[in-house]
Amino acid sequence: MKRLALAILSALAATAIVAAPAAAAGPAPTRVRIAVPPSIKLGEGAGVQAQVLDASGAPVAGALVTFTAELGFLEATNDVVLADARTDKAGVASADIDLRTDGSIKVTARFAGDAEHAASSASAAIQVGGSSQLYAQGAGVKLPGFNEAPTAPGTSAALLPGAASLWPRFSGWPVALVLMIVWSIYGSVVVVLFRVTASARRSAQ
Amino acid sequence: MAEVAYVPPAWRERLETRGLAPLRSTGVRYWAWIGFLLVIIAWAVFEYATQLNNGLIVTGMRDRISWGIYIISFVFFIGISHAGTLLSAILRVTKARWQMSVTRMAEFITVVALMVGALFPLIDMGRVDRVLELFQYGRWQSPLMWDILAITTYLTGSSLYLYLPIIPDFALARDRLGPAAPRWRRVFYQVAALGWRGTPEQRKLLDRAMTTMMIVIIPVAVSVHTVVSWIFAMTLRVAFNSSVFGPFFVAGAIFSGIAAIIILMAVLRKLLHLEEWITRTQFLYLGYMLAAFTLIMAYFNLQELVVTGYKMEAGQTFHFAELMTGPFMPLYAYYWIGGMIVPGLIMLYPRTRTIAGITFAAVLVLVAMWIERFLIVVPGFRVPLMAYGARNYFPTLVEWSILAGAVALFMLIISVFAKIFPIISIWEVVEHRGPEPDAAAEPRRVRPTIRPELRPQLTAAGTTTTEGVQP
Repeated sequence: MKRLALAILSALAATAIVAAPAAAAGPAPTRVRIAVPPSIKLGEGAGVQAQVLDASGAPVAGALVTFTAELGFLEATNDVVLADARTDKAGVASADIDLRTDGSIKVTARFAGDAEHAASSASAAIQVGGSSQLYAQGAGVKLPGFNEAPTAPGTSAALLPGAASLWPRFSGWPVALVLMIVWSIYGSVVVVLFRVTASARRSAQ
Repeated sequence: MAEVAYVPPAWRERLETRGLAPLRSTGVRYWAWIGFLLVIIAWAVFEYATQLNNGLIVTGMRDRISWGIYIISFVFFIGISHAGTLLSAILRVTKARWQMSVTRMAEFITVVALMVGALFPLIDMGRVDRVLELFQYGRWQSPLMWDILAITTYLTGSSLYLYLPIIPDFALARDRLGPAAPRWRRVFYQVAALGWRGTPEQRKLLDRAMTTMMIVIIPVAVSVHTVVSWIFAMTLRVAFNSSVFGPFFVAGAIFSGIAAIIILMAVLRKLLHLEEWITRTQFLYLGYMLAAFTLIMAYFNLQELVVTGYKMEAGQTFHFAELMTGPFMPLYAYYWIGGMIVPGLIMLYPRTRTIAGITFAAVLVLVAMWIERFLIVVPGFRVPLMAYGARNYFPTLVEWSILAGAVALFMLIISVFAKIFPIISIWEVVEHRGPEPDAAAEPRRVRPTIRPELRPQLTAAGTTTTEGVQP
């Protein structure tokens, strides 16, 4: 697994932006390499890795790496902590993150440093594709057509262009069905009331 | 063999006269009462205008605790609305006769409590002008949307269910009030009675409609408070992490609803001199139901305490400490003692099982049930979600004023309804219940049932006719 992780890390390293090590007088300088998938779909998890190396290029084991994403809410933009992970013997820290906003998201891996090592960080962008939906159901029972849009291949929503975007509004069919039944019963009662009036007219005649 | 109570004509005459009396005349004290309520409502409207003008910053919901007494009162009013329809429907379905003289009041409470309760989410919105956006952009998947749909459905059904058994009484009012009544009243009763003459066909149709509604309204009522509970239980808050919130809320709703009926019954019985028709029997039976629900509520509370307390997650520890040893301890103690233990004891001892005792127990329960909703919302929101200190919430004058206005509005609508609708279901009391042995002026006689189509029937004009030939 470690080899595989390192292989992935190396393969993705081309997309990484290597940050300059933080200048520090006492602790030895370090550098962080980050590897992220270049693009994912909204709602999908993404595996991210960061490697902490010292000045000689040797891995730093046991270092706490914090993964953050630059996210905005209303007019405020800040780094939001997504995950913490410790580096292994190869200096690699891994985490699965869940991005819930579309667009190009800047993910940062930050090593805060310790008594022997200086702090450093690195960033890379992930292109998150999909609709502009802010939040996706991350837990709980997913019922197609109820709390999950039925966009699977073969469904009508997937076949009709543009229909998928309508489904989140109209996918509560069980609720609609129950309501229709109850309101139909109300309607039948109102009809009975009309018959009461009609009966009175007949009696009068 | 089923029995049909013999109805002495004089007793029925007294019932009709007393039942229609509030529709005939209105005293100065009534107008003074209405004026008093209108003053409170006007003050509440002024305070609400202040809130609209300045935003929710004028409320206590300013720091982390974003649900305050508006949502607490919303749950409370929706809760007491269960009194009526649910209780009335269940007792009708089970053919309980003792409740016939209080079903109308129970159904009133339902409709009025729903009307008032439904205002609170709008008041809580702050920007009430955006309410239409709920329908434009609302999602079927949201419990909030389910709540809107459930309450709308329940209010419509309850109004229909209130109207159906009132039709024969509208006809009675139409025929008995006479030309001395104001023209608007005569026109209103004429239209509202739907030409009711009490013919067998009309009775059959009405019976069918009432049976349909009494069956359909029970699951609708249960669903409403279940959905209200889901607004809490489906929110990611430590204190709301419970799978029994649905039945717990439904039980709490019926519990507070019974208490509300008992109080309204005691007040209207005294004010409208209905002592002969609302007797100790109704108080006693409703009191027994109240006592049974004290045990059910205690069971649900213990279930919550034991299960969540056994696991005791970090947030739950904080929540329990807040309730049992922290700032909410006095309220929590009252909830248990005043809401469950004392009412149960009142019903346990024959000496306290009086009308006054049962009414007192109902007042204790109603206050306790408002406090229960407070204890669900405020301590629940005080549990920190992140590394920050617990925040405080205390309602401001604006919130108290609006709550007072809502209570006044509830009383105002009940007061107005009592002047327009017969507060007792006269025809049902006559046909299905008859006088109680100790309440009838004449000795009660019982005779075997005759075929329904041959039963003496109360006509719209209040006279008894018999169709066909008695055996």
